[in-house]
Amino acid sequence: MIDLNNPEHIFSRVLRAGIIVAVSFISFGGLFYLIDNYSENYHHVPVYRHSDQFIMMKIGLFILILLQIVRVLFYFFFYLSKKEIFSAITSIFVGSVLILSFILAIY
Amino acid sequence: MLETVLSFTFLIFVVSTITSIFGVLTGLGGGLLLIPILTILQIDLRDAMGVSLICIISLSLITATTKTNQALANTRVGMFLETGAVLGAMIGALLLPFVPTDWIAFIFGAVLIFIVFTTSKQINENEPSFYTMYYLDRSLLSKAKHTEKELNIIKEGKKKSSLAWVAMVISGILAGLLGIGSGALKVLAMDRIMEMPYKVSTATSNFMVGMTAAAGVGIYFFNDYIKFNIIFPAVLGVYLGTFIGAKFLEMLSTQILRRLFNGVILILAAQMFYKAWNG
Repeated sequence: MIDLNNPEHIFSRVLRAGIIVAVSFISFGGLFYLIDNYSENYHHVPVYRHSDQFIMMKIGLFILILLQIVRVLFYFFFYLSKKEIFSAITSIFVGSVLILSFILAIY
Repeated sequence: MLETVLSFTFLIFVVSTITSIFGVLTGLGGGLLLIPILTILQIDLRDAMGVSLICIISLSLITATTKTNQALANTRVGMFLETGAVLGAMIGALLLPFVPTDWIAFIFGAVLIFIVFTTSKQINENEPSFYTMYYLDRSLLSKAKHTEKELNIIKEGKKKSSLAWVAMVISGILAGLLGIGSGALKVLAMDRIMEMPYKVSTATSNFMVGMTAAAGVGIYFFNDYIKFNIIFPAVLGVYLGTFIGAKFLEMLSTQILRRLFNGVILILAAQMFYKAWNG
């Protein structure tokens, strides 16, 4: 059962759901990559294009990075609500660097 | 060709599963083992480092959801020190394309030996120290006048926290440059410099490593060091390895495993030095 009064509990459930989605994308991308290799080598016809498989895996990896950003955001609001300004500012800094890294990853 | 792709994928999956089990059981993370083993499998060092970073991000997200880690980690200290670590990770990852591979192999070997020697020493079970950021943070917020004794504690806390922050920048640079989480170095800085209890240091380090890795991974993507055909079996192996490792955590002696882990790391360090020597 999810304890709705406990924000950390809700957050850890959100993280778990995010991890499952990310791993599913990576797994399916990988599976298609292997199927493609099989069909290309035995039937000389690729079922999926390479770009499709890699995009799926890429989305999975981006979700993993995004989850790290979500983690920082959670702590930012958590500290802000407790009026712990110093820790909230450090969260903003860490979050900004991670967002920059995410933008670089997309490019 | 098919057999090669399938067996290669399976091999990466098995290697990553085993290194993750070791990583979870010893608390030192799997990156230290994974990268040298991948290079033995003829994978380029920089590509292996990219794989390792992604595995660290995955592993840290799993540990973030565990109750024990949430309860023990001092997130306030973690977030403060993380500002230095992410900055260092960015610098390290930016330096990566300009540093020759043999230098990276040499630095990696040196870091492996340093970690073996520092972690094989007796674990320092500190009592919770006054000099942590927890107290520093409270003092920053408090408008009350402090006594002479409290002011001395705050001053000492500031000094130790600043020193630990510098140590985090260095650990971040190594993390970005070598594709590791450098959790062992983070624990060392919190344990020895900030005098935090060992278990709290370990949990706080676990809280931090994923963010450090995420800060560097964007530049790895940008420089095309992320190879998807290697990453997917490695990430799946990490999930399986973490699951198995967590199941056996209570059953096996960490001390024996730590010795075994250190022995393997020393062999891998020798291999990295050999690689550095031969280019």
